[in-house]
Amino acid sequence: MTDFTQFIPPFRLSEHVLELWQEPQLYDTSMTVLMGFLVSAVCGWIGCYLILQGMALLGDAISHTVLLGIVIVVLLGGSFGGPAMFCGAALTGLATTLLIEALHSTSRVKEDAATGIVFTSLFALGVVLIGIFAGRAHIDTSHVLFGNLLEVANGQPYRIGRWALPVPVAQMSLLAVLIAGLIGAFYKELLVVSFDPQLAASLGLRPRLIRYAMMAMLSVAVVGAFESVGAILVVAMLISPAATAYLLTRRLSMMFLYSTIASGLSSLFGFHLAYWLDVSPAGAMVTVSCSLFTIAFLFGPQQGIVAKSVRHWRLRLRTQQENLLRCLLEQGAVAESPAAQLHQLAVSLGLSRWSTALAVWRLRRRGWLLASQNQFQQVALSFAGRQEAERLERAHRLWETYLVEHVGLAVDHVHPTAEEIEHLLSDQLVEKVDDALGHPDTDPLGEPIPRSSIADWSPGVFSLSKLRIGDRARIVGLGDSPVELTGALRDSDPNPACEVVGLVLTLGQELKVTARNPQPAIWVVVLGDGHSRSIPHHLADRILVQRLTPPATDSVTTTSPSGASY
Amino acid sequence: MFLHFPLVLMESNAWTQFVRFWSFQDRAVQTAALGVLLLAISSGTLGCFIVLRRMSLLGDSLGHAVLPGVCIGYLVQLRKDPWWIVSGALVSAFLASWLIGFIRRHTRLKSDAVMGLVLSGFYGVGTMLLTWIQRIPAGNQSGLNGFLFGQASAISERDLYVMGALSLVIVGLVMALFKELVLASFDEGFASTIGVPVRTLHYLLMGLTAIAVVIAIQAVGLVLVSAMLITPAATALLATDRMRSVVILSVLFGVFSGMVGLSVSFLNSHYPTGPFVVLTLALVFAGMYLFSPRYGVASRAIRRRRQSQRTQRENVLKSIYHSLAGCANAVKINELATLRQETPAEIRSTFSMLMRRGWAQLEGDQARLTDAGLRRAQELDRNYRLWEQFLTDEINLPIDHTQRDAENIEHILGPELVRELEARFEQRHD
Repeated sequence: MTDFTQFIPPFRLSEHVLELWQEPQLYDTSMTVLMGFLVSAVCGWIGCYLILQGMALLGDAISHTVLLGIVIVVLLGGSFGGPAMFCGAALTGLATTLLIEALHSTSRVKEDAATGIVFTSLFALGVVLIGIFAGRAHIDTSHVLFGNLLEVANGQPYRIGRWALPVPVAQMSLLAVLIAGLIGAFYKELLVVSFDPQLAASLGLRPRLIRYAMMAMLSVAVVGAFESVGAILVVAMLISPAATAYLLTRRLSMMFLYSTIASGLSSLFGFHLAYWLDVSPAGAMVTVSCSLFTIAFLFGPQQGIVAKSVRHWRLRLRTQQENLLRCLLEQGAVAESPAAQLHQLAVSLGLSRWSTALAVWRLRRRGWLLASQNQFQQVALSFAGRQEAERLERAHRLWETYLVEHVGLAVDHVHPTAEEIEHLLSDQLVEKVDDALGHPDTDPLGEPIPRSSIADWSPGVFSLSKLRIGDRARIVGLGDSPVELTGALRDSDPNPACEVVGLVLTLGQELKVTARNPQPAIWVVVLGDGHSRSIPHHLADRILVQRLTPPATDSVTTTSPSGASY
Repeated sequence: MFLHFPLVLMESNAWTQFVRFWSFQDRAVQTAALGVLLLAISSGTLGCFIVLRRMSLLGDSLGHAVLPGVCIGYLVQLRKDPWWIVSGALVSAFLASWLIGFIRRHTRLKSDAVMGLVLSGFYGVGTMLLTWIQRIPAGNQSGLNGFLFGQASAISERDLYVMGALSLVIVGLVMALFKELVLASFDEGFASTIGVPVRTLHYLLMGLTAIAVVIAIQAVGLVLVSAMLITPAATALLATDRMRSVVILSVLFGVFSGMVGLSVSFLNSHYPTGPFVVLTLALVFAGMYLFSPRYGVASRAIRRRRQSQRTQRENVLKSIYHSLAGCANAVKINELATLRQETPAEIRSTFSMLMRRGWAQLEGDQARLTDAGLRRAQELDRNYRLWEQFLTDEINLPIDHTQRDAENIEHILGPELVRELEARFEQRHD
């Protein structure tokens, strides 16, 4: 076993980073980093399209086969990086796409296998040609594999006024401007084609044409990248920045932006990494680029696995806490009653004592629990805690009722589902379910459903439909007053009233609920003048009442099956 | 040993080297050929399932992903020790296949993007390591570059043991689980309902692919290793439908291309093995794509052409028969042309085919049927009427709708079908 760490040179900030950005080396450094950035950015833009279209494999294939085009052009006497080479490469890219399509549409070879066969064959042909004509072509296999980013700055500079750019960098900049311009000009089309090919086709956008154009652009970009990063590492530039951006956003424009930033960072850090370790700069760039992906994968705000597991963990904690609240409610451990033992709670919740203690601690901080001082050995619900527990119990039992009455599940099958969903139901949804069920008092097992803590209008104001048997209330509003409610009296009488099945209701009138019919839901009320009348569900929803029973004593809940205390 | 072996070959001319290779006398040739044989068997066997399950990119992905493992395996001993290199490569490939699954489960990225990402990430790190090794003392002669495009001449006898053991694992497992693998590849839903552990098989295939890739990198190189998995299998799938024959043919194609590619790459020490093998595979594939008896594009085109010629021929035969049905014993070509709404030249060329078969004769411009021609024409006419009868009696088509269908079918009704139709109608008449 050799100790190969001895071959890693020590990292010195001044030597490996700072001095590179000072005068004698500034030109080389900036040109190399710029070239790396341009190559990676251009590939990244096309990569965004490839990833959205699920065509990463085709990108991989074309980046390989372009080698064949380059070799053929060089063997025919074309110059490296000349216009002939770009045309040759674009043609090879298109030929690859067409060949793959032809292969899998005319035979039983599937698309993925067709792609694999075509690109390995054409790439092998390219390598073989290089091998046979090694003397004549100015490319060797190591070039194909790694490229040579460091030689970029050594070439003959191309001067524009005061500015001097090495020819490959100038070419690549031109290419970047061109491709960015094309993407900008056809951004809307690209957007539609990427996310909704059917819509694009129906709008007459020709997704196939755009695809071929993208493949041609890809081939041209690969030629630009070939000299600096080699044919194989181009795949990394195509996929990695775009995939990083894809994890961070769901918008195409942001994807382009993020992939550009990722390209810049990978070029900069990759260059310094390569300089420090004296390794292939293209390889180092790709390594940095994939590290950026790893960071986005782990720590991305929306889809990163850390963020996801935190969310998951929070939901778990909340579920445990809410189960604990309901458990205490069932045991009747409310403020004045005898408190529950922590270890018994842990057993009945099926949790470890630590998880239970954590849940108790967090609930106590929210003021929902009263706990004894000796390490929370004894706990009871506070007033606010009991309200919360009743809210959960209400959601649970309403959901059970809903599953039995509307979904048609058997009574003994609904508990587990309701147990899971009670933590997820919003208040609004619970009220909707309550309304759809006709505001029942008990669930199918005869267990009482706690009444809603939600006031419809202002504090203490409910719709009549939320009253239970024995409730006394005063009418404070007649809702949004459909014709049945207001009747003829509306215009003439300053005191709005309505006639319901021969019964006149006026604002300020007191009433008491004496009976309930569950199906169809009808409330039987006795008015102050002793008249007893029935009010159907849809009208009861619209009549707003203020309860006359004080809420503090009213919401005391016990689990007695009779539900008499409601 | 393997370092100066290619130099020996370079001194002689191409033909003697070629003969020397195919005689398999040389020990180095034997080693290389055996290596390629093992590789072709393992990749050929496994590739069939890879292609059927549309996992083609996986081979490419794992092939590239092996590079950092190879480099680290080299760094451990600072020489090409087969056990270390193979272990490094295996760890690297397994890690990559685990990562592919892991990233796929936790992101919205599609699987091809994930594979491309893992491929390029591992390959990038590998490139760094490789260039780093070439810089350190003794690393310059590492010969690791041979792993990129393959250098079969660099296979040592110790390598062969490792490759043999790994091939045995692949072939053994595929043989043992053949039924389950075939079932899971063709009908995953059915397989899982009858209790085949489909997911386990999937991961097993991924693991075996990693092993196959590791076997192959020495001979064909990690860049092109996916071709060894995909191309022979896809070629075999073009040739036959039975899974056992597919596997056998796939191995055979692999062995053949491997040997041809190897022999060509032996001509010059600069020639890497992989591209030549892959190119041979591509040629074999192209041949099968065009001329496979059942699914070849060219074969199908030829079959179609033959059928249309036959229809054409028999239509002219029938036209003559119908013209003769009156009283004349010969009919003019020009009359036939008017009848069939074709040019006389077309009729003539079709007629010459009839004459070649001995079904008709031409006297001046008078066409006449021979006895054999008359029999065939009657047969066709009878086929036509039988089918017409069948369509009106059994399918209940109105009589004026049956003509086109019956005209198409009269050319292809075989004797068996004709007997069956006759029996059917006889029964009715009784």
